[in-house]
Amino acid sequence: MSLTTRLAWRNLGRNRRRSAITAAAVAFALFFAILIRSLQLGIYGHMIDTVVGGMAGYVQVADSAYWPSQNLDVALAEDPQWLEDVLADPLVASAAPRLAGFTLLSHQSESAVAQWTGVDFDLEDANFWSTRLIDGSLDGIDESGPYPVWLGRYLAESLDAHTGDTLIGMGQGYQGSIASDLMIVAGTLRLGNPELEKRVAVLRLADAQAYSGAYGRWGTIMVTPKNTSASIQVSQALAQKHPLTYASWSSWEDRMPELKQAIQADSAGGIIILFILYVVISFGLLGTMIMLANERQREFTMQIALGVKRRVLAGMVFVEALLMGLLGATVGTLMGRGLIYYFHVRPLRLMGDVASAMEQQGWEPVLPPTMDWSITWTHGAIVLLLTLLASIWPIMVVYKSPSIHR
Amino acid sequence: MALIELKNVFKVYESQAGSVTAVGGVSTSFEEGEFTAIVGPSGCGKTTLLNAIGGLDQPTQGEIHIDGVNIVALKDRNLIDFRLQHIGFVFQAYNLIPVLTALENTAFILELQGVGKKERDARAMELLEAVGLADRAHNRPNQLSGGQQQRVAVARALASRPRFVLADEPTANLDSKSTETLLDIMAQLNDKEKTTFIFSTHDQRVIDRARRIIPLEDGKIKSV
Repeated sequence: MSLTTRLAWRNLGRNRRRSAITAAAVAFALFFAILIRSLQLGIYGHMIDTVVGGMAGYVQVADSAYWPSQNLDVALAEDPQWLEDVLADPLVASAAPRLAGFTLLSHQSESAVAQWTGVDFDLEDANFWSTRLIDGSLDGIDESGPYPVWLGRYLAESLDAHTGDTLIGMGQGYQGSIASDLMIVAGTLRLGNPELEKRVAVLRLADAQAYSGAYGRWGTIMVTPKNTSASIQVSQALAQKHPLTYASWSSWEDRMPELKQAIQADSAGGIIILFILYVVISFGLLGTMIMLANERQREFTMQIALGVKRRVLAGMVFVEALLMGLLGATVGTLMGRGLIYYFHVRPLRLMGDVASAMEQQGWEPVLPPTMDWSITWTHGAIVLLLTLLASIWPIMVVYKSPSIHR
Repeated sequence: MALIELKNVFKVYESQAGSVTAVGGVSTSFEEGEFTAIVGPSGCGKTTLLNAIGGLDQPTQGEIHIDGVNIVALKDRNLIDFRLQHIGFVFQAYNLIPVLTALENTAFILELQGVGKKERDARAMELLEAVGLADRAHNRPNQLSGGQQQRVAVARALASRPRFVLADEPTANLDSKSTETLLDIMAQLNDKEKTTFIFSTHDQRVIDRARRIIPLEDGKIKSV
């Protein structure tokens, strides 16, 4: 161990209470940063995953005129070879066509407008749908009976419909035809977004094509990239690699700018809270370092007199701060990661008014933290940097110390 | 050529109350192997003169040559290195490094000079034996008495075999017995290792043991 490191290490033990307070300040700053940011980004991720990943698609391919009206008449012609090529692309995790439209659903005396969505359960992540079933099943369908339909839970409530009930659907079909038929409730769904749960009625893709008369048509193709956080770039890359006549590619950020902006605004609020936390912690760290410098000024002077180079002393103080920062960062990481792992396994579910407010905004009232390590690395680096910046004060004292004490 | 040569050295402190001349035109020289005491009452400029010789304080005027090098002209970085290589210091308040053991404190200068661990530990142990503290080698300063700490400081000053040792009031905080012990040790090391010692002191016990006395009054060498 070099002289600098040995002195720095032993100096930590000289004023154990101060070293512990400094390390604790770093630890708590990092703990709260990990907790706040993991919960915040976890909620966004959960929301994007359920709203975007499950229903709208991270990347979507549709006719250029499809959005925003979601007009069934401009649905794309099926192209299985093109879909195969997209599925084989290394950027793509999954791709599945869908067909959607609007219809009136009636059950006994209740009626409601619904957005029917035709889904290919074989191509889509079956796990996604099975985990969202509140009751009913995706299997065991009577193929000779009415079209099976899975209703959003609030839509089912408004229709007073339960699994096994028969509904009447009536709406506009493909190119002026009437879409009208019976449907049987095969299950109800929790989709993580109350707005969707009020209007979505899921059909099998082939049933949706038959119901609307849009045989051989796809409304959209939902593409899930392997890297879901880069959907804009992936969308642009795939558009060039896999062109399709009349079709355009869009990421969820292109189609849902209001969602992206809401996330950005909320995220900025979290960053401001962290900024305030860091400012408070920085002053605490600086105070500790000023005390350290004042206590040691005579010692610095004496060591310079003996022939210790100023850079050796500066290095000693720097390493001392680094060791305290590393100790605090390690403790903060263990505490923060430990707690978010607990909440990852048992997500916090909000109750009461807060839950209602979140639901009204279209958010499911759960707080599932993300386990993304980049939050830990980023905020660990920030608190370490703040500790090292605070060490500039005693380093300046070292460089200003005379070689004689008066 | 003298080991140390002072030519018309002045040190003037400026303050709001006016200027104070701590050292007023001292010219003298020190030969190798001397055991010299700069003596005088408090405030006569002993410590200021010693600090100037050690390169710890810059004279306002004059030249200080050590082995032919005018240290007044050296820059801070070079001066630190010069002190490390050529001068040993013993301070009134011992100034040992509290987190190092007696052995590590003694070997500290050698470690800064880049001497290997085996060699520096052997030299440090030899000196701790010479000052009678071999059995306390692994004690930290707070586990040693004032006299023991000053003996460790002397061992540290001598470890790198400097050209000379400057000792500023080395016995000021010591009792009679410790003072005698310390002076015996320094005299023996002066004889054995031919190390030059220059003290600033007003302690009669030190003055009695010095082989040369430089009396200082109001910052000037007093004619005897």
